[in-house]
Amino acid sequence: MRAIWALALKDIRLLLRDKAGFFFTFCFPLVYALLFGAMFAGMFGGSASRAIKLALADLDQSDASRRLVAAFEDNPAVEVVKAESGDHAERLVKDKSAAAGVVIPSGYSQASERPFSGSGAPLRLVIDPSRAAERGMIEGLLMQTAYAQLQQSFTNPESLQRLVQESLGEVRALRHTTPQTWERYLPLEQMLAAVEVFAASGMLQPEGASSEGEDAPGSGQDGWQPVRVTVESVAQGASSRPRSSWDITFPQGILWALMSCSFGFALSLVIERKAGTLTRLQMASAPKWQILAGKGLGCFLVNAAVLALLLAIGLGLGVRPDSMLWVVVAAACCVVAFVGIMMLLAVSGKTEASVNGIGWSTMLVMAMIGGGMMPTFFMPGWMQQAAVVSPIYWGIRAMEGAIWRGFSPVDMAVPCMVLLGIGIIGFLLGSRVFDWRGMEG
Amino acid sequence: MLRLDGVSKTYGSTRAVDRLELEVRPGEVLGLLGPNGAGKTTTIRMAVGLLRPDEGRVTVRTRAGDASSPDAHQARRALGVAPQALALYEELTARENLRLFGALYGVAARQLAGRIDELLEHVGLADRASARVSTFSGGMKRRLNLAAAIVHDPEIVLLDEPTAGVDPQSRHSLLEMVAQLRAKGCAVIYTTHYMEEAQKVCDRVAIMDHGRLLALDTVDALIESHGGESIVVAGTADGEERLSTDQPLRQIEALLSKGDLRSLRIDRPDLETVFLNLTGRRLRD
Ligand SMILES: Nc1ncnc2c1ncn2[C@@H]1O[C@H](COP(=O)(O)OP(=O)(O)O)[C@@H](O)[C@H]1O
Ligand SMILES: [Mg+2]
Repeated sequence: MRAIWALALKDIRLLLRDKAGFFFTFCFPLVYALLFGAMFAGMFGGSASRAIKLALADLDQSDASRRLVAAFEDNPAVEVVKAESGDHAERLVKDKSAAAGVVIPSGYSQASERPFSGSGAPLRLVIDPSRAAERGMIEGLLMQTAYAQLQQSFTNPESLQRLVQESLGEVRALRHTTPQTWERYLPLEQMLAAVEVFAASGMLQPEGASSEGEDAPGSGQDGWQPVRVTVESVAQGASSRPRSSWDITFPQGILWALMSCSFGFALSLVIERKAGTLTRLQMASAPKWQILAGKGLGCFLVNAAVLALLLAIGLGLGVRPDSMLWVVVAAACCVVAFVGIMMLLAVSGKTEASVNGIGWSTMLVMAMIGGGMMPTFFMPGWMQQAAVVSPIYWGIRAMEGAIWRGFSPVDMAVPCMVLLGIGIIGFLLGSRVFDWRGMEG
Repeated sequence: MLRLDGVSKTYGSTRAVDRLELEVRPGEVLGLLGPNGAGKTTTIRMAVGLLRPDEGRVTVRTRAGDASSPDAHQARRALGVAPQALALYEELTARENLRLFGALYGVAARQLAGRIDELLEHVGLADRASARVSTFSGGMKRRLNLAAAIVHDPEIVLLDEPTAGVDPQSRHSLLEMVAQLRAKGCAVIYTTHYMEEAQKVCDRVAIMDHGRLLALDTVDALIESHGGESIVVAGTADGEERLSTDQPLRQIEALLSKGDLRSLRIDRPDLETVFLNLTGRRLRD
């Protein structure tokens, strides 16, 4: 173990003393993450995407329901995604294309024309139970929109008069139910009666009416709401939204760092073979497995350090991982994967020049298709499918899963296992194939 | 003790080493003298177990008494090699290089620091201990290369062209160190294509060419048997006269008795002559 440590320490020293290696391992990935993060700053997060995505299914297709949809569309806090059916709305919520879904059932318009009767117009709210904050917000939003609709009715004297008369009739019908119920509705009856007089007077001004409209339904009767919301839970799957561009560019930057670092280590193996130091290490009674284990450990430690550094900077910039534990797990898996990739790169060519050429260009292609440059979700579908052959894809997926995709442990297991597999198989395979013969004859 | 029994190695159609028989004993410096391509480095690589011979066997017998092939653990610890290709980490300091190799050889951490100081002093690099090897001259690198080979105090030391490309001072100090290793009782194999060095530092010299061992003996014995006659060069009024003889003293007596001698010189045969006589070629063509 002392020998492996000594070898790893040697490699870390050499990397830190190699200006190009240091730059590409520590500086370039950081510059990459920062530069592209700043460039894409408007694209993710920002004001536009802070709007809640709401899947809206209008099954009623009435004037009333269309008014409700229009009200949501006009609301800057909401981004409406049209859904064809209740099921469709549920699906959109499930795959996180929408934060929540609202289904306007048929029959909404009849109910909405008699807001004070029954228990309000029915609306179905589809929501992910884990997103409590959004749920409260969306329920509030629904109420607000429904009240605003009601208020609009009040600003139209004719419809107000009709509304009030109908409502008054229905409320008065409650007189014949239990005294307790009637008691609760009594203030409403009195108020409606007053409004009826007021509406009939023809003095109603749209502006003046607005305050009255707000007051009318909101005046504290807890027995009554303009809409009746039934909440349905749908657990969300993968593909949440990044909270900011850093969420995208830091995982990418991390993968670049791991690539550069592993590449540097792979190259050092080839250079050491040529320079004869590998041979000398063997003569210094270090068995081959120990030499490679030392390389692997050095690569692992530097990778881990770079990753920790980038993560720390990312956290400083406001990256807020869903789960720190999973970030650590994902990071460890990435680091292991790249130790294996290091070994594979080391056998990708015979000489320093060929490893430089073959290894690095392979890495670049992998980075490109794996989403290391352009996030995969910007890519056409077939390319997204092809991305799975790239270790970079799995690395980014694991990091993103832990940072913002809100992966469940099962979701995380897939990329993590793939990464560990790449690491272990890559290292074993590379070690077997590695040609120890030096070039110095 | 290190022993090669009928060891051969072929690269493609090149017979790099051909049925070589060698043995080096404690307290002895055995020279491997031959031109470039003679098979010296290949021999060293087989001797330390880096290269498997196509045929024949290499045996390492340590002071503790156990005999084994050179890639066995205890044999590795007993062997110290300074490779011809300088295999040092250029971006590490002298001390860091020695510390790495010391750790690999399993030198106890407590002793290592002291041992490194002693070695650096010994090879005249104490004041450059913390400088990166990349800033060293060729001679300094060769001295560090030797220090790295003996950091674990090996019984058998193999030096492959340890003086290649060094300044006269470094050469002198390197030869000095070889003499000290012998005095300590180390068995040393020393390869070179400089016959002056072989003549100066080696107890016995193996002359190699095209992978074959042509002759193996002490320098004097080699000259005796393969050097041919000495040449007595006498300057007289008539000019220079060169007289080939196996009894130069007789010859000189005769010259003196004739009188009229203005200068007198004996050209003794050396290893160069031995090589010339054995191969028909000069050592450095
Ligand atoms: N790895 C190798 N592959 C092919 N030929 C080699 C190799 N190493 C040495 N040789 C050949 O073997 C012969 C002996 O080489 P070497 O042992 O290096 O000689 P020396 O050290 O005496 O200069 C040379 O002809 C050389 O070209
Ligand atoms: Mg050689």
